[in-house]
Amino acid sequence: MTFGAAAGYDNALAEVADLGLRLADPCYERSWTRHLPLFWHSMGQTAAFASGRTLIVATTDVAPTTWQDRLRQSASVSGIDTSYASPC
Amino acid sequence: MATQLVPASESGTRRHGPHPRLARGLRVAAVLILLLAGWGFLQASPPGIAAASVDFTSDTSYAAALQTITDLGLQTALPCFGGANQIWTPMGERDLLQMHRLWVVATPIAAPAWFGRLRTTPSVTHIDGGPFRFACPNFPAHPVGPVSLGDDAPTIYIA
Repeated sequence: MTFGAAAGYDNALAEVADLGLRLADPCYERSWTRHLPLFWHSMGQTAAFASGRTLIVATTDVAPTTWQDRLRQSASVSGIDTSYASPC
Repeated sequence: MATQLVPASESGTRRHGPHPRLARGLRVAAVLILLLAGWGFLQASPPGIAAASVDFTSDTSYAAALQTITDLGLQTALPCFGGANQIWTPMGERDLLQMHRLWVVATPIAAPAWFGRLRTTPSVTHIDGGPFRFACPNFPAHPVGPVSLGDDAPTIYIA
């Protein structure tokens, strides 16, 4: 999801947390489900956010069924892509 | 044939302390115990824990607390909420941090040793991994307003 220029990383994290979404690392998660060797790293996305104002997140069981509408109505969110394809 | 017993002090074989092999074994065992204890400390202890209440120092901001837990692959989540078709409420717990506490749950990207890492984080004063018992309210069968996705909902990645 992409945030506007006014949103900082802190605001972005708060927005994600409020909506019951979580930070995601699709490549790591794919390795986990395939029982491949895992090399855990800090899951913060400060660098990616600083360069592209984007976060890779995922839905969870505590997200509302209206999460897409809420994200689109958010003043700090400038775009969401739910057809995200993992690069790995 | 009669055997004559010779006192060790006179036989020249008397040693102070345990046998060298035994001493080496004891040293190796001690090192292994220390390594295992350290590893156990770093691992999620108690094992299998998936949620915890985390107390932060009074000067920890919400932003700092949230970054600490998300860096470890955790997320905030309130007890009693999250079942399919349950009333949804914001999960950020911003108000809860006024009591310097956040409820967190592990996500698929959580650090293998997240419990131990949190315990040794300077801004964390206490972490409790339960087991917890909550007196959750009864939710209406057909709640008005947004409801949670629930466990069976597929994960959607958003970029």
